[in-house]
Amino acid sequence: MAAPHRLNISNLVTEIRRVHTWLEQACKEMAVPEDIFFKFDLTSEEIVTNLISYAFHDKVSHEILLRLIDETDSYTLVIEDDGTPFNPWEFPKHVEPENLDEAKIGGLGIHLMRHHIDKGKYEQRDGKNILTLTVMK
Amino acid sequence: MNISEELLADGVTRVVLSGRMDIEGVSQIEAKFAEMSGPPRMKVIVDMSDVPYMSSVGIRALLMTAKSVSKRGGKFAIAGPQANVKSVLVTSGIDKIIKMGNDLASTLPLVA
Repeated sequence: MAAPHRLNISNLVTEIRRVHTWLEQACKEMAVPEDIFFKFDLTSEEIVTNLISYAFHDKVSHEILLRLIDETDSYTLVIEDDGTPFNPWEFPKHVEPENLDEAKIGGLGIHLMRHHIDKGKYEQRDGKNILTLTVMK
Repeated sequence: MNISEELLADGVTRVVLSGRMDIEGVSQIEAKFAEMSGPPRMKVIVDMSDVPYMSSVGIRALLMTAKSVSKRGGKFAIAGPQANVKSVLVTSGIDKIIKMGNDLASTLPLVA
């Protein structure tokens, strides 16, 4: 198993593109297939955007750590933060809108993330939230 | 992202989006998107064939625009989404509430 690729960002919206740039490079170096790269590209943007928008309630800068790991039969993206605990698997299931008027703006990010990965795990350890997102090869 | 507008026959407005429709991309075109799909336009087609990626923030922009066009009695459709973008639209259930065509030619009748 090759060493994981890592990225540290701070909780600023301007850091979100850096996640994409890093992921693109890491996936290229690990020869991750295009469709799996897309799944991580999408899920990482959704998760990191949510963290930056909702997880931190003080004026201090926080770090978000991302790791991409090449495993025997899967690829795993681990996202670690020290913000408010939030388990995305406890978030209510997405209800498809009946028509355009009733469609709600927002709340789709978690649904998209859950749909595009094969396995996911949320843990709290030493004051950190650790989200492990796995896509099978 | 980039955005442009083209007036087609029968009063159809084609708004062409290009580039990555993520949080940064959407913030670059948001205001222009509202303007280029705003009144008096009644038939709006958003051409997404040059958009390789879209996240929930893109869905949000499309929904807001579609709602405002529909609220004034207009018609709104999406043309030519690429595979990854289509997957996001379908997963969100947007394909059931916004009309969609595989290319411009097949989308034109949807706003007629």
